[in-house]
Amino acid sequence: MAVKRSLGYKVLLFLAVSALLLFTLFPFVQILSTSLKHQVDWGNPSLIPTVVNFEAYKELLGLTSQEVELPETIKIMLQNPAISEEQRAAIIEKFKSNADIFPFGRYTLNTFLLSMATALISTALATFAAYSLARLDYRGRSIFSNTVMFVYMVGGVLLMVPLYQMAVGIGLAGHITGTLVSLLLIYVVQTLPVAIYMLGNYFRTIPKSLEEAAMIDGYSRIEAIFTIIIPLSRPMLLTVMFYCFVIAWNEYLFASVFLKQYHDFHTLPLALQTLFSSKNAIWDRIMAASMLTLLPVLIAFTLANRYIASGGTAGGVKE
Amino acid sequence: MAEVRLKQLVKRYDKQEIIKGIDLHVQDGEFVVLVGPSGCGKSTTLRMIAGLEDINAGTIEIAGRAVNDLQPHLRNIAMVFQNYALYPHKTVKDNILFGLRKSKVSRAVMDDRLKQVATMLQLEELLNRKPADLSGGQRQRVAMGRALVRDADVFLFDEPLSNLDAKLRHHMRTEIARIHQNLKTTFIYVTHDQVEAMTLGDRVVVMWDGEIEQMGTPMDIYLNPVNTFVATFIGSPSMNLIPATYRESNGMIVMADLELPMELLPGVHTANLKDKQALYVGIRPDFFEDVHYASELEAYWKLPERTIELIEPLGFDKEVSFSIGDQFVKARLDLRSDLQAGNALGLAVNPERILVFDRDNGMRVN
Repeated sequence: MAVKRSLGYKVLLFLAVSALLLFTLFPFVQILSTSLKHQVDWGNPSLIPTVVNFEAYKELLGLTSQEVELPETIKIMLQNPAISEEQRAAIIEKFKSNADIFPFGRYTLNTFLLSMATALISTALATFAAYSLARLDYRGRSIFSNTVMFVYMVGGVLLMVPLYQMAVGIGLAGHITGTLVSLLLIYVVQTLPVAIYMLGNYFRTIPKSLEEAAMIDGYSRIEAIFTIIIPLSRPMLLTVMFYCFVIAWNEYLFASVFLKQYHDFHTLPLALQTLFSSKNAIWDRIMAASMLTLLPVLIAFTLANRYIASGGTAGGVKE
Repeated sequence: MAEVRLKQLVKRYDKQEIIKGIDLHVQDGEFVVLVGPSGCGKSTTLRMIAGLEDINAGTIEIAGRAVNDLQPHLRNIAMVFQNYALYPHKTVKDNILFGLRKSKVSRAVMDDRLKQVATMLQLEELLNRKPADLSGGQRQRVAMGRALVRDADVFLFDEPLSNLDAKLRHHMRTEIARIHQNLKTTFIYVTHDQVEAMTLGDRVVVMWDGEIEQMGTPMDIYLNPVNTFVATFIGSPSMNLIPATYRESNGMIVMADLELPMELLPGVHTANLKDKQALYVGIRPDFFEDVHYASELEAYWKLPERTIELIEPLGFDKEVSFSIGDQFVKARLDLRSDLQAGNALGLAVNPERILVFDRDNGMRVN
């Protein structure tokens, strides 16, 4: 249905949309701009760097092999005769050491594995939970459904300390395996409510008669779920997986509490936070790391978008 | 092939009884049609036979085996759904073979059956298409194919033609009748369309409000309805019910200005009537005859001349409306009767076709 709209309305709409886009996208532009700026350029309020500088990216991705140059201030400091030869060597060594450099790849892998596990487990559990809520009739169904949503309403900050205490109490927080299991559990529990809600609503749009037809055709209910419901829900299953993945990918609060002592297992948001307070706290590097953290999410979204858009159930039943 | 028995079948939603204890015995190879207005419980009954609805009381037996607690996939039934319920992500071929794949029949048998069904339903050209690329009629044929390809004990049809246009519906009705003639398996068919019920069924079961009102051959139900509900539901246009009163003194049934002598009605016994009893006289529009063209008028009840109020031409037939008292009455005459609204109309009725019902409870008076 084409609605005729006046020019004034169109202009107003365009301005409103532009303002909204500017508001939401500006921080990202700022990140990108800063990540490409050279040190000398940081004070420059312009978004366009005077010199485009990929050093931060190269460094984070381990593409640079060149010697780290000592900052001028350090060089002056080193000329101070009060510093002994040993101390001088130690300082230089510290600056040139690659060991301390931000291990971006490692953090990415940590985050990816944790997020992927969350997405897979959460989607699998949500599929069956949502199916039961959408299709089956049993005692306590509405209580179950409401309780799940209640979990979602309680903020993470409230639960952070008790959950950590519980993990310590049952001895999970004492070693890295237990810690990762606890964290995974928390992420799954955090993402499940929305996942169940989204999938449940989607399942309700699939005509019941499709499953009934499968059951008449000799398939049990479980078999009907796998042969009919899951293939038909692929777009929504991908959406839900993507949602869980992004939640886990960006999660900072619980990771900061549970993983604080396990540096090797830091996730990206946690690592970024640490980056601020390390000797690597250089603006272009922080921003480049932020940019690289965003990237997988962007790529995943672009890919997922193609599947999310397409509906799968057309033509099966007469409406 | 199998017989199906329903014994005292009850279905309740919350506290309300939807099916009120029905008994039905479908013979092996019989084509039984459940017909009734929407909400009468006919679809629920079918879904209970399929196992898609729980049974609250009573039993269902298929091939002598009680199936009350058997899941649908263990009942060996096939069903055609009203909305077709095709699997949207599968091709026509995969839709049809979905059931056979589960029952692990050999490749050769599968190919054979597919070919047979595809030929019978003219689906050969469509086998690799998805349901979304098919027309309504084609989808309906795929849904039929998916059921018929199976070697099921009982075939269930839940208003399979109600979503088709009139022409296609007529065509598919003939197809279904022919398929049953070839397969000779047990068919249970639900419809709200009394024409489908009449044309397809070996036996018609008329349901209303969760109960079976009458069952019998189509002609039996057409000619001898047990009550006013069946009388008006079956047959199109619907039977005229003319309010009347019995006058014992002269043995007449009085309808406004008309008098029908009881002695003309061989099927109705005066012993079953009381003086001044409120009645309906039921006459199907088809049974009115134009006095100019009727042959043996001797034994017929001849109506005093009426004035035509409306004529609705239907091609070969026309529906002619007139009044008896305040009651609007329809007669169906053929094209020989060349009439106009306002003309005088001379009609006669074979008294064997005149039915009498009690006006209070709607039951037939014999």
